Parts: sequence; C-alpha cells; structure tokens
Amino acid sequence: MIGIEHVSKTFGRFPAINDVSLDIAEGELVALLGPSGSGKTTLLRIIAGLEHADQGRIVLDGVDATNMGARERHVGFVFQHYGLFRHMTVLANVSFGLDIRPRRSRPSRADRTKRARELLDLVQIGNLGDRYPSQLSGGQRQRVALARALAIEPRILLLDEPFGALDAKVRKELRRWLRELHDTLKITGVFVTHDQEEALEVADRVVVMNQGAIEQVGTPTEVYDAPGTPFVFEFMGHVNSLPCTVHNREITVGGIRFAAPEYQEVEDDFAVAFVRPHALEVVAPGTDGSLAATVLHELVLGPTVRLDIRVEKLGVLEAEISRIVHDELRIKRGSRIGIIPRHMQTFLSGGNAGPSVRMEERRDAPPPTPPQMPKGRTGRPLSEIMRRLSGRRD
Amino acid sequence: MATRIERLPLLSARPAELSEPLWARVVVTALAIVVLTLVILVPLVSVFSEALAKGIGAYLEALGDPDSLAAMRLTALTASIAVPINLAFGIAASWTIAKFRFPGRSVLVSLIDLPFAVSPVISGLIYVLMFGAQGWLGPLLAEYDIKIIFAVPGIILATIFVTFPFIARELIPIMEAQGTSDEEAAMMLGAGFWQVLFRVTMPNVGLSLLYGVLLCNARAMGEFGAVSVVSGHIRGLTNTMPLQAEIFYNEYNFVAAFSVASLLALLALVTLVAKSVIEWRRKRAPSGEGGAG
Amino acid sequence: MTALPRSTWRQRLGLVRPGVLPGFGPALGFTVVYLSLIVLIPLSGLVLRTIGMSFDEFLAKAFSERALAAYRLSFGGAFIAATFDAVAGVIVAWMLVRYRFPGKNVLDAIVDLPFALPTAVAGLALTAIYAPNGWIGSLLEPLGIKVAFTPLGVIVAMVLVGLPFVIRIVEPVLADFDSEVEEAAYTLGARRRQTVRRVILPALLPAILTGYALAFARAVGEYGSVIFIAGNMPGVSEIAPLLIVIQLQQFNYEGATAIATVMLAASLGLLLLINTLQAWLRRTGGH
Repeated sequence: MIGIEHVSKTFGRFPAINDVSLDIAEGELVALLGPSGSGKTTLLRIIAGLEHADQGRIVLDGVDATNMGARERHVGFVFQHYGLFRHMTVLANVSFGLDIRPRRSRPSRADRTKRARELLDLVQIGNLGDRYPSQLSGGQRQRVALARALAIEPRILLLDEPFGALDAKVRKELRRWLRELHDTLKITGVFVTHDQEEALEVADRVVVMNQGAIEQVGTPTEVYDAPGTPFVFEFMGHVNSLPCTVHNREITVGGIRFAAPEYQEVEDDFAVAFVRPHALEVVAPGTDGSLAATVLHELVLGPTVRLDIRVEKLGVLEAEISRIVHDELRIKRGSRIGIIPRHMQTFLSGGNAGPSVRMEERRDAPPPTPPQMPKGRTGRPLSEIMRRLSGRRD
Repeated sequence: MATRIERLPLLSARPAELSEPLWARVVVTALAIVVLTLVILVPLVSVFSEALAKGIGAYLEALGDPDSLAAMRLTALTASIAVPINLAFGIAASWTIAKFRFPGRSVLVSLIDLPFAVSPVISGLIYVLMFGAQGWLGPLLAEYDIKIIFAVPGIILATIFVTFPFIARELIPIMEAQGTSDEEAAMMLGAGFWQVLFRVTMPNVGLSLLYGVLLCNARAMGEFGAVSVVSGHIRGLTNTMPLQAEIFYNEYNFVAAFSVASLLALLALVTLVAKSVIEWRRKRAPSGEGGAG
Repeated sequence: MTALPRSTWRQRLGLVRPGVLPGFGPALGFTVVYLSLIVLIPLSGLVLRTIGMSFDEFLAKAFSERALAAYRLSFGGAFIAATFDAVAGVIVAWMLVRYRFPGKNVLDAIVDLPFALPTAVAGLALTAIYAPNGWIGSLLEPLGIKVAFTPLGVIVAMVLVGLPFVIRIVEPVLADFDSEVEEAAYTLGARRRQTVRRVILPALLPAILTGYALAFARAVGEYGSVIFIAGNMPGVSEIAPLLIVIQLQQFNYEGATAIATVMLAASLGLLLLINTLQAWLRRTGGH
C-alpha cells in the first residue's frame, strides 16, 4: 500500500533521513518509533507530501506519488498540535475538506453536514459540533482533528505524535481507542511516537528509527524480545550491557561459560551481552553457574522489586525480580546473592548480532510483567469492539 | 493529476506548498513596495530634496537664521524638561501598575492611554481653557503677570501632556512580564526601595526604557498641533522647530521651511536606527534586557 | 478576650495588600497627582466649560453648518483612509512576514517612520509632492486629478499616518500563525487561494479590525500632517481640528469647546472600541 524506496532527505547540512526503505501493507497500523532527531517525523511528512525526498520514491497504492503534492495524495494527516481552525466551529472544521471541493464533486450542504455529524459521532463527540476549538479539552480537540482528517475518506491515515500533548491518563485511553477505531475502519495507518510503550501497545508493526535510518522492523513482540541492534535493545527498555567473550558457540561472562548451541557462525571475539533486568535470575550465593553479586540498593514496587547489584568484574547492574523471590531469599541491602542471566543477546565488536542464550528458569517463580502486548485483530470478537465504541464518552 | 512541485521558492521564505504561486508573490511584493515607497519613502526623500533645492549654501544659511536658531533652542529646552519629567512619571506609573494589583488599576491604564486617543489640538485646547486670557486661571495669572499660554511654560506643559504616555507604555508590559520575583529576592536580601528600583528593576528593563525615552524625545521635539495652539507663534520666542517650519512655509520661504524640517527628519531617522539596534539586541536577550545581562 | 481589630479604611477599600514590594504608596501618589495635574484637571476644565453653555448654545456651536462639514471631512476622510490602510497594510504585512528578498529589512524598518516623524514634516513633504508642480502632483495634473488643497489631499495625509498601525498590529499575528493549520488545510485538499481566503484571513480579522480602529482614531484627530495639504476652505476642505484652532484664534472659546467636546466624545468611544478589540485580539491570538 505504501512503498518507501531508498528515500533520503537532507536539511541544509543535516541528513534527516538516509536511504530508508519500507513497505506497509494495506490495513496495517505501523508505528515509527525513535528518539528526537531520528527522522521519524520527517519520514511521515514525506509520505504525506508535506516534505519532498531528495532521493528515492514514494509509491501509494501502486501509483508513484513522489512528485505529487499533499493535496493530490489524498491522505489524512493528524498534526501534533491538531492544527484546528480556531475561527470555525467543530462542525465546520470537520466538513472543511468537503466544503472546499470544486463545485462539480462537492456534495450538497446537507450531505456535508450529515457526514460531519456522523464522523463526530464516530469519534464520540457528537454533541460538541457547535463549539469552538478553544472551548474543548486536549483530548476532544484530538478527536476533532481525527474526524476532520477522516472526512475526506483517505485511504491512508498519518498521525504525528498524536498523543504527545496530552496528559498520561488521557493518553492511555486514547491509545486504546485509536486502536479500536483503526480496526473498525480498516484503514492503513502510520503514526509517529517516541514512547515505546505506546508503539508496542497500539501498532501491528514497529519501525525503530535512529539517526535517519531504520534499526529494525518487526512486530512488537519481535522488537522487544529479539532486538536486532544494541540501539533497539536500549531504546525498548532498560537493559544491562555486560562485556563478554565469544568462542565457538559459547559466551563467557564474568568467568562463567554459557552455551549457545543455535548460533550458526563460529566466532572468536570480544562482545557485549545485553540482558534485561527481569532476565537476571537471582539465586542463593554460590549456586552452580551463578555470578557472585552484592545488593547495593533495593526498590520495592508492589509485586516486583528492582535491585541495583554489584557484580564482580562486571560493575553495577539492574535486576528485576518478583516479590516472592525477594522475600524467600530474604534480600536486603548488603545481601550477597548469585545471578544467572537467563536470556542474553550478544553483539560482536563489528556490531552484528552474535550468539544468544535462552535458558528456562530453574525455579517456578511467577514470570515478570512484560509491557502490554497489542491485542488488535487477533481474536477479539467484533461484538466487543462495537460495545466499546458505543460505550464510554470522553 | 500531479502538479509540478516547485523546488525553489523564489521570493518566499516558506516551502513551495505553503506559499502562493510565483505570479501572486511577485504581484504582492510589487504592490507592497509601491505602497511603502509612495506613502513613506517619497515624502522622506522630498524633505531633503526640497531643503537642498538651492544648494547647500542656502541650506546652511537657513539653519543659521536667528529665528531658526531660536526655534532649535526652544525645542531643545522643551525636550530637556519634558522628557526627564515624563521619565519620572513613567517609572512611577509603571512601578505602580506593573508590580501591584489594586482597584482602579485599569482606570489608571486607560488614563495613560488617553493622549493617544485625543487630537493634539484638543490637547492644547485644554491648557488654553485653563490658563488662557479667558480661561479659568487667566485673571489670576494676569494679576501676578505670569504668562503660561503664548509663552514657553505653556509649550512645555502641552508637550508634557502629549508625550507622557510613551515611557510608561514601553515599561509596563515588560515589567509585568518580568513579574516581581527579582524584586522580592532583593528585598529578602535586605535592599531598600530605591536600591531595588535602581539596581534590580531598571537594569532589567534597560532596553525598553531607552526606547521609551527615544520615542518620548522624538515626539517632544516634533509635536506640532498641541504646541501650535498654546504657542501664539511669537517670532523668536515661542516657536519650536515644527512651528518655525510652518512660519517659513507660510512666508513662501520653502528652502528654510524644509531645512528646519530636515533636521527633524534626521532626528526621526536616528530614532529609527536606534530602535533597530535595540530590537536586534532584544532578540539576543529575550527578557533579561540590558545591563550586565 | 481580645476584640477583633477593626478594619482600616485601607482594608475596606481593598488597598491593603496590593502587593509585597515597597514604594506602592508614594509611587501611586505621584502617579495620581501627576495625572490629575496634567490630565484630569485640564480635561475637567473642558467639561465644565461645556456644561457652562446652555444646551441650545452647545448644539448651535457644535453642529453648525461649518462644523458639520468639518466632521464630514474628518470622519469621512478617516473612514476612507483607514479602509485603504487596512487593505494596503495587510498586503505589506504579508510581504514583510512571508517573503524575502535583498533589502527587505530596510523596508521593514521604514514602516515605523510615520511614528517617529513629526507631523508637520510629513505635512510639508506631502504638500510639496502633491502640489501641481510637485513630483506626483505634476503627473496627476494632466489627468485632471488634483490632490493638494482638496479633500483628496486630506485623505492622502491620513493614509500616511494610519498605515503603520495596521502593519504593526497584523505583522506579529501573521508571523505567529501556526503552520500546522496551513498544512492541515493543504492536506485536506484546499488550494492556496482557498487556504488564504478561508483559513488565514478570517484568523487575521481581529488584528485587522484593531489596526483599522487605531488608524481611524489617529486620522480623525490628525492636525500637523493634514493642514498643509488641505485647502482649509471652510465647508469644503477644512478639518475639524483646524476649526477648533480658528475658533480659538478668534477667542471664541465656547465654539472651540463645543467642537472639541464632540471630537472628544468620538475619541473616547473609539478608545473603548479599540480596547475591546485588543482584548478580543489577545484572546484569539494565542493557541
């Protein structure tokens, strides 16, 4: 549906996007995720036609749109600060795209109003049609912006940090709501965000960008569980990086060897092993195969406990364990413990991914809480979607 | 149908999609330049052109005329009295209005705006009504042989009236924007009122203050309507530079009229240049203006 | 059991806690005294003299034939001039904000000239230019258009004094205009013309109206720029301020007062309107 082929864009001396290629299928909801300066907003605007690539092609629904302006591309765009027309009512804002059509293709006034009202109902602010944008809350303005973009019946919907300007609670509600809306309308969507939790919760696929290039593309599970590069690892959540060596199919960390039999290559190299805090199992000191460590600091957060621990030869790491384990081992500041990295991904000195280790947990501890995985179209019944859409108002 | 995307936004400072087509940009630019030239530039240039119409010798001679010199002296005198007095008022008024809240505050603000809404002629009229021969205090003043109307004091009074808002209006917004935190900090450190005012508040608004003084001065020197009403046009005595220019003009001595006017025009240009410099420096130090920075 | 302290007159007036800083009393006192001496008392002199006249006398003097003609010229001329200023001002502001070319900064600085230039200088210059033998007057003469010494000249002078007001009020509003809004209109399919007409100009309306009112108020009371180029013929090309001056010169204080009162009432009405418009502008100017 959307084909981005070898697109590059430079602003003055600053290379915003560097040879980026990406394919987005029809009906997908894709997140462009990355820190500021990663090029994600620029890429979105290039898809929209608000910027033009210096090199490369944009293909929309089979048509080469590279030289088309945003007007011709007929995409819906929701701006970060909404861009509502302050001197027009909400209803007039929403029907704007229809009001300005050339006379021949313009629907009648009655039809335009009807369509605008339908859209306002769809975004659950049907009773606010006669208000002005200045009288609405941030979340309500966001919905108006969405309804306005949808009024022109675009085949593609683009959103620039749609929830960035809202407070946390509203953000969470609107995230869920956007996902459901997308499922109902079956529209192709791309949104930009710097919040990895948002991307993981809402999107079908996540595109992680950094410094103008794509680091990794994958489903939320893939991107979180199997990050392809150190950057993705670190961006998607806190991670410990342990210096190690790789020899044949073994990783040696802190003097202890771990086997990585699935690794196909044969390497002999220095490397960095990335371990998530919750993948560090904490055991009694001296346990076979464990690294000796001391607890420097603990933070009890309800059902989980975060530990800062000092490991010999490896420095200070962060571990996350369940409360049960914490209490069983009677861990407190100064305690001596053993740690075993259960899931490790190494990256070799050239930057390529090296062997990785996945071991089952020894104990029957309750699993740590990973971030929300998206629900989406994989199994929620339609009736539940409809119930939700017709339910709560903002 | 794809439109051609203009890559070079000629003339425009924005991307091609957000700007008008080239022909529209050219037309608007041309129109704007024509308007500015006709309305502002041409009159400015003509002042100098007329003043020098008979050569620089005649120009200097006109400036050296005793009436011209008297006018310059009077103008300088008026400004040198009106501006400092209005400066004191400006500081007092802006201190009161910007740093405090009290009932009647908005009335004060409106009063300060008053001279801008009132015709200069009326500004002069009210003083004539008070101090003129048939005015309220007229007989009383005649008794003590004090001349205000048709004499220098009247001119100064009228000038003070028309120029007093300038400094206050420049200071009030910026003092309001800066709030009271700096002053409160100084107070906590033990500073007294004058110390707070001159060591903390004034340096903070240095650039705005300077600009207000410049505007006040330019208007004080150039005021015509109000001064014309109270002056009496007594040659060599009660004519400021603008009035003297009018007298020369009425006597068909155009070179002299424009020569005097050219000095005033130069003053205006200097004020403008100073304003540009101040604006440029303001951009570099957004709300911590002037002083040690 | 101690009684509660009685409230002082200051407390009752709400003056006790105007703020934390020192110097409120003296500063307020100085300000009020100054304003009374310079503004209020002289103004009240005008009001008293007006009241001193009988109603019939007031009407006769304030609305005589000559006075009415003067009002027509002053207010009518200001109306036309302010309209021209509004249109031209928007064009100039648009150019200054959105376009760039070498030398634009100089033009930007020039816009402020009418603010700083003495009115008499402007008046003399305009007369020289538009007189039949002047730079522009000589071009218009063959076409039968007389500017100097006619009502048209009055309007030309009013245009000069009012133009910077419109430009300086519209400029910042236009400069701060949210580009997201323009881009939104564009993505929704609007052509540039439609965006300008439906989105940008309506949003500029508060600024344009405020500038219009300011230009109008200034033009109505303008004296120095206008009297040189006006013909000053009673009933035809005599502006109201000039009429006041003439009455004064003839020691007809009542006549002068009557006309001044009419103009003052109009000015105050305009001031009220301008303040309202500026409040509207501040409200809608932000995001």
